[in-house]
Amino acid sequence: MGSRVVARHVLQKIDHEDLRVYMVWLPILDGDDREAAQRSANRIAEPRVTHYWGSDLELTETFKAPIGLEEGKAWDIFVLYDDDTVWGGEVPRPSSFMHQRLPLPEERTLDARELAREVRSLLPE
Amino acid sequence: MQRIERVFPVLFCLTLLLCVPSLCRADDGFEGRWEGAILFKEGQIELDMVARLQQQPGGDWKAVVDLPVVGVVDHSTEDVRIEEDQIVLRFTLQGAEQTLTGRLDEDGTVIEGTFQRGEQPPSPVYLERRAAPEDRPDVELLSLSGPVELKERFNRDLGNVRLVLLLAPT
Repeated sequence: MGSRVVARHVLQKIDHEDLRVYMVWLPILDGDDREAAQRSANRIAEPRVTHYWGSDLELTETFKAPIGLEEGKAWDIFVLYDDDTVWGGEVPRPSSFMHQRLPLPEERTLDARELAREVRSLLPE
Repeated sequence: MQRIERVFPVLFCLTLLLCVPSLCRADDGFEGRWEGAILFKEGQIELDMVARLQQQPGGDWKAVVDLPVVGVVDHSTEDVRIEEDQIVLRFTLQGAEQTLTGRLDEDGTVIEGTFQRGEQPPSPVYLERRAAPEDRPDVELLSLSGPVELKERFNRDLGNVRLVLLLAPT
């Protein structure tokens, strides 16, 4: 659901070409497999979006520290980086992030309209 | 008088020719599969919705609705009314009447309106004409065996604002 909310409020409303979105589909829930990922990806066909199918959950661990998650898996997360952040040894600290249903600050619960504002603030005029 | 009598059928036919196509166009515009969401709290709580609309041979309309997040699939509607660019669609769910009231845009690609559950306040609804996911061409789905490929792509796209989403597909 979060992916389509982001698609509606960020991708459809911001046509700036200097935006890249990586949608990483992961086997989190029962029924999450490559076919399900392909169906979900097909709903969001956009040249600025790259879709990935991750066969393991390593990324749900590597993204915990940058968003301050101490327990559980980091998924249903929306992590925003400016245009000059380099990913070195560890996943870099983001400009901002949002989440759904994780034990993280409530004010960072996904609000795609706010996320769109934050994306716009990082894009050049 | 005889001239008027001769001209009248021609005028009548011309009027019919001009009016009928526009009426048909308005009705045909709703036929098909519509995908979007009920915006209960815009940007935060948006319930995915699919409506499939089909006009029956007798002229009546039939609609089937999916609300996949709450497990509603192929739910038949009790009443579909279409007049020109307006649609009212009613169905019952868990004992409560649900009413979608919408308007088709001029391009015939978007229905915008409101969705009301029982006596609750109406919420905006937005539906786009979309093919079923299984009928759309597959987008490229790259395989990740760990963070390495994502990191390479992320750094290759330096100079762009980047948004990483980790998601479950179901």
